[in-house]
Amino acid sequence: MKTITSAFLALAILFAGCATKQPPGRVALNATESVMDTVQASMDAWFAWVAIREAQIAELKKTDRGAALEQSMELLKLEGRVLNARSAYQEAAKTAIAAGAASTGGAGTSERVAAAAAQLINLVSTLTQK
Amino acid sequence: MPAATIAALLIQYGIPLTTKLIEKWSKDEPTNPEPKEWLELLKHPSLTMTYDEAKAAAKAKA
Repeated sequence: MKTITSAFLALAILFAGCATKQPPGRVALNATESVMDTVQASMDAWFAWVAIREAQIAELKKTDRGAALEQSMELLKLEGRVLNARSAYQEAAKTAIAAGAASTGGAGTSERVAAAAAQLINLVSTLTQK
Repeated sequence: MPAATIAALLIQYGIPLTTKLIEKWSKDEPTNPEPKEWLELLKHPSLTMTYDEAKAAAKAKA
C-alpha cells in the first residue's frame, strides 16, 4: 500500500513539474510583456499627475497669472523630460525585441527592456514624488 | 479495502488516465516562442503610441 501511495505521489510531483515547466524563451517573453505593462501603468500614473497639476495651474491662473505661467512652463519642461525618456525606452525596447526575435530563446531581451523601462519608471516616480 | 483491490483499480483506471494526461500535457507543453510572437510585442501600446496619444488615451480613461 505504501509503495502504491509513494508511486502515485511521485507521479503527482512529476506531473506538477511538467505542468509548471516553462522554457526560458517563454519566461523571457512573458517577463518582457510584464515590464511593458508596468511602463504603461507608470505612464498612466504620470498623466494622472500631470492632469492634477494642470488643474491646479488653471485654478492659480484666476488669481496669479504670472505664477501660473511660471508653473505651466515648469510642467512643460517636466513633460519634455518624460517624453524624451519615453522615446529612449521605446527605441531601446524595439531594438531589444527585434534582437530577441532573431535569437534563439530571446536571451537577454527581457533584461534589456527592463533596463530601458527602469530609467523611465524611475524618472516618473521621482518627478511625481517632488 | 484490500491492497490487491486498490492495485487492481489503479491498474484498470489509473493507467489509461495517466496515459491520457501525459498525452494532453505533452501537447500543451509550452515551447519557446516563435520570432513572430516576439514581434507581436512591438504592438504593445507603450511602444506604438506617441506621448500625446498616450496622454489623450489616459485622459479618456480617467
